[in-house]
Amino acid sequence: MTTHGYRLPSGGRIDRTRTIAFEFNGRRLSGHPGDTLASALMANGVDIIGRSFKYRRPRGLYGAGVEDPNSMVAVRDAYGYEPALRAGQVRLGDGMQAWSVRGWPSAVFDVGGGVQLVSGLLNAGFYYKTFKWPSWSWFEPWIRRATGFGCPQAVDENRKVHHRHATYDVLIVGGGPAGLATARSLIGSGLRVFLAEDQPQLGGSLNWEAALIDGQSGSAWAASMARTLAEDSHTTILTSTTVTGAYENDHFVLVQSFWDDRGVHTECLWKLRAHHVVLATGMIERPLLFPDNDRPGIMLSGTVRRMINEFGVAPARRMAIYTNNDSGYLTALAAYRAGMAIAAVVDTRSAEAAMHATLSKEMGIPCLFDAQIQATAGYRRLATITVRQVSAVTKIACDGLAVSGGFSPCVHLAGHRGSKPVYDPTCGAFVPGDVPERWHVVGGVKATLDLSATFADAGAVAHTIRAGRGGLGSAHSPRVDVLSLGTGAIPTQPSVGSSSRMWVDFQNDVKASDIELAAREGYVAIEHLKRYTTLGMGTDQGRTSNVVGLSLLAALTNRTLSEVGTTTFRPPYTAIRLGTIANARRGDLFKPRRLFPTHGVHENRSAVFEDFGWERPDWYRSNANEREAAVALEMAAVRNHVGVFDASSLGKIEVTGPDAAKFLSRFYVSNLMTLKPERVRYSVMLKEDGVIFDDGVVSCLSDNHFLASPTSGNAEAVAAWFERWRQTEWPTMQVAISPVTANWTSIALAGPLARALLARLQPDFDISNDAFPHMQIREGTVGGVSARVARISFTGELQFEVSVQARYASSLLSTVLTAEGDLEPRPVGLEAWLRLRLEKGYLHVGSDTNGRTTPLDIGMGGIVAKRQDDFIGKRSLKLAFATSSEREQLVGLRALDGSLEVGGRILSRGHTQVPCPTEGYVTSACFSPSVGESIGLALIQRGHTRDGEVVKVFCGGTPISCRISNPIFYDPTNQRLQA
Amino acid sequence: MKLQLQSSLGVDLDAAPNEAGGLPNGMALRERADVGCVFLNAAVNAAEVIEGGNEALGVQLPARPGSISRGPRCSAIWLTPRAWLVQCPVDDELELASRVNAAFADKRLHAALFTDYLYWLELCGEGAEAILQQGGFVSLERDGLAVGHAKRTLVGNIPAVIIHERKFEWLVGIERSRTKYFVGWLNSVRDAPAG
Amino acid sequence: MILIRCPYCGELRTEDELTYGGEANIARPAETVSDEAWTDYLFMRTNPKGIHQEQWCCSAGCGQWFKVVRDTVSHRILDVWKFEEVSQAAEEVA
Repeated sequence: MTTHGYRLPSGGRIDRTRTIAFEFNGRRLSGHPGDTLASALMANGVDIIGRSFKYRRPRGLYGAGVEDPNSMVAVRDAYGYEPALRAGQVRLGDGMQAWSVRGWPSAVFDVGGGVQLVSGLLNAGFYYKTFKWPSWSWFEPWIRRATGFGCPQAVDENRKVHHRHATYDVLIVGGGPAGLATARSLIGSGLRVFLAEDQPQLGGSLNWEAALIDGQSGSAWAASMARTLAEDSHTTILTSTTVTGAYENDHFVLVQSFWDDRGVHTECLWKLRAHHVVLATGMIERPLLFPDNDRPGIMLSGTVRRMINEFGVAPARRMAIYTNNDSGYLTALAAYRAGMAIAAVVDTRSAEAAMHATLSKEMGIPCLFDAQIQATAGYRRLATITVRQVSAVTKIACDGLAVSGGFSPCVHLAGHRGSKPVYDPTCGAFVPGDVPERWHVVGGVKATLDLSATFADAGAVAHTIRAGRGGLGSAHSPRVDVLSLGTGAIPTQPSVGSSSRMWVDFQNDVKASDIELAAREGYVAIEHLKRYTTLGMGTDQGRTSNVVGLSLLAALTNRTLSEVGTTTFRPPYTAIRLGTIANARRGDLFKPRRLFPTHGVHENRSAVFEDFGWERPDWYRSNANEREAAVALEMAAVRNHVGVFDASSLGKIEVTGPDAAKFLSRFYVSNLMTLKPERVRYSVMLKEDGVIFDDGVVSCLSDNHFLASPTSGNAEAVAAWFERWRQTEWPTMQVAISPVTANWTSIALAGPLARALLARLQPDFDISNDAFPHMQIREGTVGGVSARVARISFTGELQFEVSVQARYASSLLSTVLTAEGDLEPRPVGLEAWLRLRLEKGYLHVGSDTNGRTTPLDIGMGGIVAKRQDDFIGKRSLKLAFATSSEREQLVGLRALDGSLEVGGRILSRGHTQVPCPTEGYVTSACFSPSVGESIGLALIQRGHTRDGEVVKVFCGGTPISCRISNPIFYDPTNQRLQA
Repeated sequence: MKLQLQSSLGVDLDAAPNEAGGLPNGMALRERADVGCVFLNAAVNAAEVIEGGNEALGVQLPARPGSISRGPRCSAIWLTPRAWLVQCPVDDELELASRVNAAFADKRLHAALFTDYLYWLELCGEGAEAILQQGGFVSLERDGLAVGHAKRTLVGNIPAVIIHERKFEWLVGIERSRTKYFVGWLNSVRDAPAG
Repeated sequence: MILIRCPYCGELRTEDELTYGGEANIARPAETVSDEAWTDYLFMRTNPKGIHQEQWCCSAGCGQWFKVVRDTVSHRILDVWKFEEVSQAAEEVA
């Protein structure tokens, strides 16, 4: 088999002394350090890298970098696997494996190629049309199999990820001649400058273009600039770093790659803020339209120069060039100097317009003017082109064709900030329009093709930036001895050939005829055209195809390119791995887990933890090996002797100041103005819409000193809620809010023997029932350390909640759990704790209330009615929504047959079978050992008026019968908690 | 009877991470269980309580955001226009809080015990700031957070108090329940490439 | 990324450190108002495209609420001021 691309005997910036082995589609190949996967494949004569998306046409390398629509590959290096990269983005690594992402059984022989025979079906708007007729379901199975780029692989990811945040005075995006010259002119200004270049070495196009600056070659000049900048302590240079997004307030996201001989081992995601921004992103070449313009062997003209001069690779043996600007001649010269045969330069312009043509002619390169390609031929690889001139049609044999239709500036980052690119008809390019304040645009990105103009521009921009800092430092003006790129070019429309054979967007197989069809069908707004045809919607984001498509639409609709405009640019500029964004936020570090200070003690008791933001023991294996058995023992301990429950996550907010009581009263349904020192009161808190937000107890520690205890999940939200109202609504109230939750650990001792257990801790105050009754609090010393002890109950039993500073937490918990004698304290987990409170009918906010529940629905109407003064949410309780007789109200349920389940729906009256209307649901349920029945709480329409009624509840797949009851199932007269 | 005290991590951070070999050269990480804290919170404008507060604590309560003033027994850090964090030896916490609360019986200024709310970690070395910057900007100012200043911000997705004690010397305080998370996070970022 | 310099602690804060509090200057009516006035207070907001006065909190910093004039299209912050202060910019757009 003849190969076309080959390694040139000399030249390029690769390290020819070393060889790297890699695999492509299972073939063992080799390249050199400095190669990209693209250049290495070309050096090995690989023509076909993949197949196109819709028609499965064979495709080869088209562009040298991220702009390439074609060379999509899956790559596995020593550190990980990526399913869809462009070959020019990948630095060759030793042992690297790469695969074509489409093509079955292989990219070279793809059975799907037959799709081309039915290509008439797959034109613009295919999806939209088949959704209507004949039937999407006919196509779906086949489409699903055929679409998508690449497959994920379950492989170990060894790539390291880091995040950095930084602030700089100046961010320069792009390390080509424009960026380097600007950075150089900022030395000495005292400004901290950050330069990001997406390629591994600085210099940009100077690395492959034939420029002469200050008497040196372009690449030598770039290298000397790099050395100078590296020595400057105020300049930071990052290569292999892509600025992927520009956001408000000059906030940028950058991805920096670190790689070695075996692949990319680390990625660093930067979030960077800069005061000045220099956009020096250069431009990308765009193609010309002609029939069968997508055959392997056809590629961008600048890519050919880059392959030759940067990588020492010849893309073909016999090269033709098709151009509408001078880029084509530069390519012809570069190929000629590299010893390749040049078939012809085909120029759409007349001879006079071609600045560089003379030199080509002198070298004996045939130049055809006023010429267009009307056909190409070749099986799997270009073999001939057919050129039409006014008076002649010439068939030319060639295995490579370099194409240039002009240049498109990389305006993306300005576009991310909402800056609309404007069309400059003189250079045939969309350039940045109004850029944000303190943004500066230099060089190719404003379609400057002349290097001396770029350097003058860079000097002026640096001067402007320096002026803001007192004009320190001095301009640096390189002398340009050889100009590089000739002239700009306005997009050219073909006048020969069939539009149904001209590819505009290679990646999505959008043809010129698709754009014609869309225009005929009225999709003439550019955003509509994009979605209807999928033009520019591939992973290359239409970098090469957009302007070609726009100019086609403009011509079809008799509009100018300015009138047509561009689609919207959105971040990211190139794909970012999700793992790089996630960084450490995975596994245990995904969300901060909050641990009790006693975590180790619970672990020693084989606690089974549940994640509620806090890691909380659900039940203890030390009690029993199986959950239900353990929970039963834990409940029994509380009912019969004493259980120990860790309530450390319960919120603790100290509210202090002369207005503290008045302030708190405005939040709670209950009046707290009357709460005396050492007393505790339970209440609920509403949002302004009258819906219950939180509940808990408020304790008065002393005059003007209160302790609010919101639920664990709301502790931080309630503190923020208090603070917001203090600052924004009641700024003159004399009150301070101090959240101190994590400072204290709270251990609840619950059960008939709780007082005896507390006594073991030797409190320095009287804990007898008379001296320390229910719903009171004491401050003092417990276990020799300062403590707060509240006598409150969530279980219905005598209960003390002992709080000490967290550093004593483990010692406190171990001490109570190992209390000797007949106390037999048992650790109690959250499940048992919640069932104990359910037996007592106590509310669990969030379970027994929902986003509509008001205090009137849970039986607190009496307390609300008693309040004379205002509190948050009070007014809403008078709205029709709150007073409606159809409200769901909280009641108890006792199962008459079967078992209650949380979420079970209450069947509407008169219905016994599902499906049927429902009128509420079960909010909490369990089997109650104390009552000996399956019990639950439920929100049921008009529930408060239906005591004793038997209802059907859908549980476990079948309706069961339940009786509506008082929600207090256990000890309704509160004898036990008063003991 | 006297309950025993235990540090937040319960391990000696001095040795552990450094021996693990991950910490860049010259860096040191140390748990500062010796740092005690009192949270001072005023129910009225700061100006009305500063004098009394100064007297009770023997330190000038700073009025300037981000600033720290040091006294013989404790230092005071500006937290909000009405609140300060007082750092002191752990054993002085109760006494200092009592003195403030005695001076302000009407609670116009309140001193809350706070030692166990915060876990303090000392991070020293040339790369210390870069490690912190993996978890957030630390400061968006041109010159960063000045030496001798403190601020509250997010580090590694959780709230933290950062104090720039001396050049290359940082003290970071985080809420105690997130200690294990934070140390895990530090371990995940410690071998960051320089840059 | 929205960046706002907190008028209380003087620090430039990122979106992550801030909490958005919705439209500013919504006065809380007395309990005696009509149902309609009360529900307007609860739910009705101007929601403009463009200049908007709003509340923000330096939640991960000094914890203070303040007011901001923001352009909801460009995210430009036109003014930031404390609750006890008056904004020149806000008065001009009002």
